[in-house]
Amino acid sequence: MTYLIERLLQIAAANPKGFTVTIPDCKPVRSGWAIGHKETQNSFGRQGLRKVVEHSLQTTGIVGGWKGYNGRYYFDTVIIEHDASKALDLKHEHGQSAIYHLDTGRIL
Amino acid sequence: MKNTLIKNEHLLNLPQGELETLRTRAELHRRYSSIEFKVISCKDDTLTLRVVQDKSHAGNYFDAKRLVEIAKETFGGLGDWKRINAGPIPYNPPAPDAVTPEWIQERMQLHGLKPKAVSDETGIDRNTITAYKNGLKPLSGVVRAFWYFYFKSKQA
Repeated sequence: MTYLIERLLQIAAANPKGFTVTIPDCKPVRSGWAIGHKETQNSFGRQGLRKVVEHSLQTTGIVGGWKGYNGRYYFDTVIIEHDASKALDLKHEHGQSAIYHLDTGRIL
Repeated sequence: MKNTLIKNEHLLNLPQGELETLRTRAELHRRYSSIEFKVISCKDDTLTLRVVQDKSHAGNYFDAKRLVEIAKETFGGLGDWKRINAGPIPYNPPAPDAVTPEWIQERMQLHGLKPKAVSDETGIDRNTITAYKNGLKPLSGVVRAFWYFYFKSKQA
């Protein structure tokens, strides 16, 4: 766990604008609709990342990070769904104001 | 904290609700695609923007045409502007970005090089050379540049 967290912090430092990876292999996620999981909202810093990693290992196996509007670096469990209709359902289920399609840059 | 999500955001004069919508969209573009926006001017009924894509961790790069569409989709339906002019700057990857473990393996094979030979020539530990070649050690920007120019020197 400690190694994985350190690796993710390295990835965050190298990608200050954002990243999305599968864990534990830390490979980039390159396609699909990205939906933030409702249970990891507002997670930031090392403690927030630990919580997200523990949650993600039990659920989707995908972790994302990004620099927010206020300059703070946030983390979350990410759900990737390739069907737009299902992605929209997940958007509502997880209370997200918007979701993002990695392949096209579309936002719903 | 000064907002850097959308440069010159203040020129838009958007009501708070629309501003939050715009910031949410912009934050998603930056997070997932390293796309950022700069407002150049907002006069009469025309909004002029610059849309730039930087290096994206997801590798999801868009051409100029799509970047213009993204800018219009992001700023569309907001404010009083009737026309959006977007100047796109697509990502132009530096040559060393092509370096991957597979790239290293191909070139070592092409030049008939074993890790020991590379180690002897460069002074880098043989195990480290092997780790980069096999994808066991991450390739930082500096390390990719090393490999790129190392093999480039073999072509001279």
